[in-house]
Amino acid sequence: MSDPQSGRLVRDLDGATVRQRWGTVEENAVRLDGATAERITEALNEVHAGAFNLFYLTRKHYWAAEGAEFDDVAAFLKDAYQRMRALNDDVAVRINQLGGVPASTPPDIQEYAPVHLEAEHLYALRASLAGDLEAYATLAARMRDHVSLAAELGDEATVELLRDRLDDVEDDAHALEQFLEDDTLVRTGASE
Amino acid sequence: MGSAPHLRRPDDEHVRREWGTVGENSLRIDPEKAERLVGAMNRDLSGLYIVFNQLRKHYWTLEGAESGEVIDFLQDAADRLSDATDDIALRVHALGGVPVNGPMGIRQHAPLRIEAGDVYDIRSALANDLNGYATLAVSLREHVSLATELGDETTVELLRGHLRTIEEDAHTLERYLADDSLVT
Repeated sequence: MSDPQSGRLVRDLDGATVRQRWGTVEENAVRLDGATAERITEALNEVHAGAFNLFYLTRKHYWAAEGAEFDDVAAFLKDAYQRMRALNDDVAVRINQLGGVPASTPPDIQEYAPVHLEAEHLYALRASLAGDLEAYATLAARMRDHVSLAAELGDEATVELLRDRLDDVEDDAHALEQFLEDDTLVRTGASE
Repeated sequence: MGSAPHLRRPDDEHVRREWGTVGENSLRIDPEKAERLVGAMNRDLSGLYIVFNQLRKHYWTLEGAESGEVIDFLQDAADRLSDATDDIALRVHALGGVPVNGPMGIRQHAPLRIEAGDVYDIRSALANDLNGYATLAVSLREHVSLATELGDETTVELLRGHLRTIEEDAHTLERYLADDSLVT
């Protein structure tokens, strides 16, 4: 096999049978009509991809947290990234139940994600957390939009899933806000 | 390598460690050795990223009579890969390095390719997972030897522990694939 570090990193699986193409929506067992399922899976792929990225952002910051407050912050980030992964998994499974395919390759995830990854350097804790807070706010806004969409289209299970997870996202955003309000994190010159 | 215009970039003044560099560590491990260990473990991290997300894709989408049991296994196995990833990333950080944390690093260190976005049949998907585990196991084994040679006992112990878990999960996958009832 050629070296994965050159050429296309994403490729078709040799010898496998494709059961469903990425980007298609098949009939579902939950009796939502095709057009409805298509709109909801599109919307859910945005939440899914955003959560996928936010999972990696919070996890990166968990790995790299330094400074006097690192312990509290790291413990929070570890719990937060796990909640984000659970949200991500639940939304992906819902996409599948609706007959869609959750985005799984890095290019597809980046195309759908309303939340962007961070450049690969390690940044100061305050700048990192401020970016996370913004990402949470962006994801929450997108989820709120899609709660309305799912309600309008009569997909109550998706409404409930998103509403339930939105509570967690808002709680975690609030916790981040409180960390950023903490005086000891903002001491001039302590963060560089 | 100015690949991704959509990345968030905090101001340069906030950079604490640059990607690809290995600074000093407080563990008194010789910087040159630390650099070799960081490079080796970043390869493990890239592989773990790919296999972890491949397992997730599979438990999101698998269907068929045996899929319930397989899904449970894949979820638990993904948790174990996640634990390995955290431990190794924290070790890279402790050694003064920057753990693989984004698309550029994943590509630069990739020991495997990433499956396309289509949903495949369960046998092919699991066979690809087994291939991923085998690649991770080889890589971890090499890096246990490297860490031994360089005298970093903590890394040796850390990688050995996760190697054992990965070999066990690989064996479980092998058994699923050997099961007649999956062959239709």
